[in-house]
Amino acid sequence: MDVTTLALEAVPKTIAYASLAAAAGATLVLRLLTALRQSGQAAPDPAEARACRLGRIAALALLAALLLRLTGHTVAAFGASDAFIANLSAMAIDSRWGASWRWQIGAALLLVVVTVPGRYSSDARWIAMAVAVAFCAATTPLLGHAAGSAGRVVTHAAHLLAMSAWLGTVMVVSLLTAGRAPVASGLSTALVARFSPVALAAAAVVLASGLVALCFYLTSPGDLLASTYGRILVIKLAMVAGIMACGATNWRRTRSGRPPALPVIRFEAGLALAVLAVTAVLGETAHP
Amino acid sequence: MLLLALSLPISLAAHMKLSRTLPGADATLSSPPETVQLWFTQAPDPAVSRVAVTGPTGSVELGEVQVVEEKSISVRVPAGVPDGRYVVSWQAAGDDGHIQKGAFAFTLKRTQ
Repeated sequence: MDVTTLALEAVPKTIAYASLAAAAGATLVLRLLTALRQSGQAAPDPAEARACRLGRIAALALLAALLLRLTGHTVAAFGASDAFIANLSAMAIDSRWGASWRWQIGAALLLVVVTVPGRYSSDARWIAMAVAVAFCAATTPLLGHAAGSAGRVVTHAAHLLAMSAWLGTVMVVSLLTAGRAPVASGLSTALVARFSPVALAAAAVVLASGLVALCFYLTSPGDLLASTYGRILVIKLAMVAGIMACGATNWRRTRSGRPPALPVIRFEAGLALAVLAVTAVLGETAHP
Repeated sequence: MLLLALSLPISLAAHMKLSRTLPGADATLSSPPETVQLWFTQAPDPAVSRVAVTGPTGSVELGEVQVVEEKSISVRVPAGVPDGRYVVSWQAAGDDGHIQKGAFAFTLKRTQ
């Protein structure tokens, strides 16, 4: 695959993964903030409205990224010719994957709809967002390496949903603790403390589903170093190990009652974005 | 979910590959082919499959891409194409939707 084709395919995919992760993170943060408020551990905080706003921006970015991805995929396949509309129609309507494109775009539209401002309770909001995020994660593997096998689709959906909840929450917490009106130190400590067990469970699902996926795509452990696909996977695993180390650092701090180290959260969020970009490239790389 | 995944039928994943062609790659033919046919390791989608043939007089006008067997596509070649070297460029996509592209050549040299 040449560099132009890789860019046309992987850049929109990276934006889509990051947007889905941010939407999942906003959903989980909204759930955690609501639980803290309901348990009396925190007063109503503008962070809830900020999490809703981030979820809305992420939903719109996901929809835009999917449309960009469809365009990039069409141009990568047929070139940027005069027959672009006909080619786009062939890809999104006539081809075997037309339904998969439409399901994905429909799921993103649902996410946009449930994040529209309105007089909903936080509980109703996060539940609706969680359903839409799960729908987006379930439809994403219908295109790409997992397509054509129910087992691979389920494994990828579990991997994507857990990865989005874990890395997306890190990204959203990083954004909420930055800017002109960051959340108070006490609230960020309580938020990270509540998130830690969820992150641990999500990381376990990411690793377990990743191991299952390894069995689909690698013929032997030697492929990890002997193939391009394997080497990119090793880079991804090294980055994930870095994210786990960052998470462990802040988990230890909050367990001892200290606030989380914000530079560590920001570094973790940056690594999370890099992991999503590497994942997008991996999805375009041929298996051994 | 993972238990469900493991309980479902799973095949080792791979991109679709070209398995053989007719005419064969680098073959020399004594009469013009009626069709160019390509076989793949997965069923190609006709909506995104393309075949183009370039010969000594430029691009050859071909018929529509047809799926003729489960994992094969074919295009009709017009009669009366001149002798010379022909390059067949193709693109197709299998189960994962990734577009695969390739080319092969054959030579037409009529016996006198």
